[in-house]
Amino acid sequence: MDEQLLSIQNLTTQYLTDESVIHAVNGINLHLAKGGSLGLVGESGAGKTTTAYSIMGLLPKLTGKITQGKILFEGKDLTRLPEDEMRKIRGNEISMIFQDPMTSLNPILTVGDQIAEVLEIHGTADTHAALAKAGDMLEMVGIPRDRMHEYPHQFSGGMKQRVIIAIALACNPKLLIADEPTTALDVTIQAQVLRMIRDLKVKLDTSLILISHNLGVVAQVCENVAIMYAGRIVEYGPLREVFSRPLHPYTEGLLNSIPRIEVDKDRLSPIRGMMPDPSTMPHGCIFKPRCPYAAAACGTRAPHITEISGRSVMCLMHEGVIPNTMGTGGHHA
Amino acid sequence: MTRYIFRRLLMIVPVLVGVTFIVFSLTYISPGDPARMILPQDATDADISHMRHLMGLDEPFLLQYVHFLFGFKSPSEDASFSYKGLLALDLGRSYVSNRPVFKTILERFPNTALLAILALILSVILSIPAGIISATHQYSVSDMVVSILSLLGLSMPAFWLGMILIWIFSVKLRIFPSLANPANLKSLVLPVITLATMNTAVQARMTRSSMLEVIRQDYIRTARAKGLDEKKVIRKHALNNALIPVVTVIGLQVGQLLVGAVLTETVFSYPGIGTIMVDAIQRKDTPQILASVVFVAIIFALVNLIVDIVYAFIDPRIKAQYESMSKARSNGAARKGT
Amino acid sequence: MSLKKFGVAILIFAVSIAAIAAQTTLVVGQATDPIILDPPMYSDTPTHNVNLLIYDRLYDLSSDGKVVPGLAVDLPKIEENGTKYTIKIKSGVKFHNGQPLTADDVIYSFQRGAFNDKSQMKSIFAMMYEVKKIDNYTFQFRTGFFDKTKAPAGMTDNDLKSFDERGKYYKPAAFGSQLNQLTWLGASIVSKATLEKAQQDGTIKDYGITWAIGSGPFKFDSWKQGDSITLVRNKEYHDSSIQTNVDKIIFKTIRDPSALKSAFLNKEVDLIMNVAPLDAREIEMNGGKILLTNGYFGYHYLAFNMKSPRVGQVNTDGTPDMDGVYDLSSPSATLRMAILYSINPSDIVNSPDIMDKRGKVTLQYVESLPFGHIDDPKGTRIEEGNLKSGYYNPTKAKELFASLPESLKKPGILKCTALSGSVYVKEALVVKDQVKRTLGVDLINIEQVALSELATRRSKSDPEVWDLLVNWTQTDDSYYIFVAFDGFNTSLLHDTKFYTKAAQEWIDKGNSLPNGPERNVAYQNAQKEILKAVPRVPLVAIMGISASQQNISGVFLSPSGSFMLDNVVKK
Repeated sequence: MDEQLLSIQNLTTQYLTDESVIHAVNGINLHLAKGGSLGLVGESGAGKTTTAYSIMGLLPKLTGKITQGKILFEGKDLTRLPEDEMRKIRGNEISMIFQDPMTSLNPILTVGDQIAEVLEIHGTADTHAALAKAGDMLEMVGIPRDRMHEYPHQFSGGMKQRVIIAIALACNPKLLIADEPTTALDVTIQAQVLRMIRDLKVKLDTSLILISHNLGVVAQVCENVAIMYAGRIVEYGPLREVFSRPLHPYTEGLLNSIPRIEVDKDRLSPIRGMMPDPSTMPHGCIFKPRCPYAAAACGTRAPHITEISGRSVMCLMHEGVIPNTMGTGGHHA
Repeated sequence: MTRYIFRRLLMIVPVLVGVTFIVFSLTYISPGDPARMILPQDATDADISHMRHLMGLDEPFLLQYVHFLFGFKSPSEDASFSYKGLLALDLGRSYVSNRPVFKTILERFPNTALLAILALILSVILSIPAGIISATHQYSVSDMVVSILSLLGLSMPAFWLGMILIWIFSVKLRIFPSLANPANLKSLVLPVITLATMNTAVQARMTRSSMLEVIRQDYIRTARAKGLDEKKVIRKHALNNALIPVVTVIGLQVGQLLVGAVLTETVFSYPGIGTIMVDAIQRKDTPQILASVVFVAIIFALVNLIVDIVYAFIDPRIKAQYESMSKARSNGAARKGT
Repeated sequence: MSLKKFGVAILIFAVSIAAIAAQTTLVVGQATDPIILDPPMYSDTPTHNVNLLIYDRLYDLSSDGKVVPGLAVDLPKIEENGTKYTIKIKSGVKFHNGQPLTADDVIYSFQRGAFNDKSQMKSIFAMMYEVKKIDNYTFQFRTGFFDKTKAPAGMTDNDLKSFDERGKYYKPAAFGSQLNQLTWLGASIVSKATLEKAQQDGTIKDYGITWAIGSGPFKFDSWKQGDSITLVRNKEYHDSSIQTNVDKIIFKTIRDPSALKSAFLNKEVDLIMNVAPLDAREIEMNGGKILLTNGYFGYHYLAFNMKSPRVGQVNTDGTPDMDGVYDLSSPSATLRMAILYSINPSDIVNSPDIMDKRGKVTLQYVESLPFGHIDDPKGTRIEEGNLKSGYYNPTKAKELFASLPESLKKPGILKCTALSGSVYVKEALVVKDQVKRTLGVDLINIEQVALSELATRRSKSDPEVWDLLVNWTQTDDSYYIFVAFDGFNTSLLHDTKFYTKAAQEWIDKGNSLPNGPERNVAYQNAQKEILKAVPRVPLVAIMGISASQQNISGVFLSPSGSFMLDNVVKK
């Protein structure tokens, strides 16, 4: 195996409030090779964004805490880095782009300034040079360079997101984390932006973690995919394989709930139930209440990670503890 | 942008007319007869009506208002109650002091302006950092201290604070004089503190709440994600955005400061315009009242305009709005006319 | 420039700095700004204080109330039964701008004061006519009044616009107060040449505001309106007996009374007047000097509304009886007496919150001035009282009260007004309490009113608006004492509109007599008449209280309460 660019080991992140503890991320393991692209998929509240914040060190200071685990980036454990070291990495070696482009840009600064800023933070002392590079970045994302003196409100949503991508990639980071980058955009723009991300990834040789609840988006860009549920990675593997032959009941449920244009269906088939309240830590498998294949053992024994031919899954069926009835549709279809 | 400013300046005129009409009407209906107050106490009724005639007070209401705008020629022998009217910025002489009313205001205005500027500078220097610290260290000790001090500052009436300061620092400690006058900067310390206290409190609270809101915005997250250190995040990204409501508040307070803080002026015997206005009202000195109101209206209009212009400099979205407003108008005109 | 010249320049600079620094400046604190420094046009105490220094008069009042010559060489020559006055003035007197002062200026000043539209001092000259210049330093005038029989039909006194015109229609009459009136500020002498020139070139508009020319011991320097007036010493003043070492006087306006007091305690101000009794104590404790007027220059009173059916003089049908003859047996008169005998003013005098003993109980309206003061109380109401407890006589009070009909015995039937927030409210409360305790019924209901409202109410004297009023008045410092006694033609502030026919006759007689013991007796009799019906209860005679720093001396207070600063010395 290649020297991993990013290796998350047993990461547990919690939010501590006066009343309760929110178990956002519960002992996840993730790896990303250099140049790789990983999709992180799950429902809202699964812990995807928290994972991203944990990597970036952007957890809210007072309430967010990494209580366990390591995040190794090029061998360095990010959880142990002092803040000033972390700042050198943010925007420079690891960049992140966020969900809502409409509000992610400072309305009173020009886009050129905002792109140049990240360059200036990370070494480009000369303002002229920084602005020149900012112009280059704008062109790279398909915006004419003389628009760099304009303000965010003069751009449409899709273009704003492109500016944000330009900011993120200006310092040529090794890793780009994109949290729901297209969710707020309309579908046609979505396609443009995704295409651009893909192209830039190749051009700049950037590794990518793409977070989304949308399987289709992830499918367009990522080689590998990790399915996240209630703060746990329940399945991980090469995307094509996972989507064509899911191992975890949740993954199967997700895929089944995608409406198919060629099939005539009166009703969509969602997964029954809801994700558990992250302030509770139930016994056994957290997916049991919604799992069509659940057995008695699932209530008492929490599953471990099982590796199967280059993929991993967290399910008692694949551990051999309960019979493997995958593919049969389960008790309740 | 210049077109916008020009239009705003023009709008001051109808505002003035409206305001002065209201005040003119109010002074007209309020009780008390200026002629009676000018003449000696044993004046006969004939004397009084003669004086009223000389002062133009026996004319119908609307005619008096017209005179107010365009001028009045008194039948008196030395033309002493004549004036050229509002549009020439001449409203004659005060019934009480016999000085030209606008001249009096303009003479005293620099005093008020001096105090206002000093109080403004002091309050801004104190309040904005206090608000920032309070917001960025929410729930900490410094946050609590700032909040409590702000509450105290808001609750203290100016005249009470002024008198306490005089009591402590003038009478007991003999550090500062109790009478303020513009030539002696040392004597301005206490009145400036008195004036600045409430303003500082209000501004600090406004800064705090505005900052708290801005810090939660997404673009702050973006700035942090760039690797910018927290201090610069606050200064460069948060502060300027947070300032917009604060500028509004400061603008309002500048307006109030400029039209004279009567209570503070009284306590410190400071020769500002607030005292002129209040005295004029008490003595029913109509020309002085009207001149003061005109002056106040102009000041407020100008201050508002300046605040709006400052917005344009802070926030380019607003600047664009102004420019598109002017463009739309001229486009509309172009479409309609030629 | 050469070193030598430079050295000289430095020396001159240093000396002038030292000279400026060595100037002695006196700061006087006043509560209001003067209105205009043009003597006949306006007068209140702050204006008074300043004008006294800028202008001279023919005669002045000394601090013990005597008339002494000012610009005049000597007391006037009075002839023809007190109707003809001849006055000689000093020669060599100059105005502040160098113009010489002659009889022309005196006549011009009188004309102005008597006939100018805006003059408020016409009463000083109301009885003068045929004012004539004899020579550059002598002039003459007559006193009298308008004789209808001499004038064509329809002509009134108001139509006459000059002393000469008056000469045609006036007939001579003595006016005892005329000499005293010439000591009033309104009779100050202004410069004819200067003012006539100012009329021509228009600068007259600002006279008394940005410039003023007199001949007095101090010159007008500048006036920052609403803030301060600066006067500088007139080194060429004609009276060399004046002994002041002050080069500059600044009259600073400080509106807020506590700010005025703080400024004084902080030594930013050297002199203040109208100090409240309690503040006087504080000032003394903190090292200031308290100055009192020589004598009691005013009194506090409780007035009855003579038109009120409850306490006034009314006909049987309840309408006011205005003939000036009082029926002392009527129920309303009895109620007045009952109240009179219920009041013990020593409570007011002794209360630290009110007078703090800086005043005294008084039984009459003129306490310490040499005229009109009733020295021999025999046969007058004054016999009934004493200087400790006034007219307090609870037995008599109860007796009279018992004889009244039930309708006059209800609680709260008498409305008493007093200036809100003032010491008079406190005094009214004392009176209310005393009446309640003595008569057993809380008759008085107190209403606090603002100043303008108070003046309006008194001028109306509408029987529904007020029954009782507590206020003060200044006893006049001249022989023309209408203010103390009241009549119909009195000022807005000191007016409670009662009319006693017999008293008015004595007053008229006194006014028409030349100065002398007969005048005094006439005024005393006027007082005695009024005291019979007691339309006003005298409560407390007050002194004017002022304060100065310890290093100030030579300040006197005139009987009217203004500062006499000609001889002030500041160490």
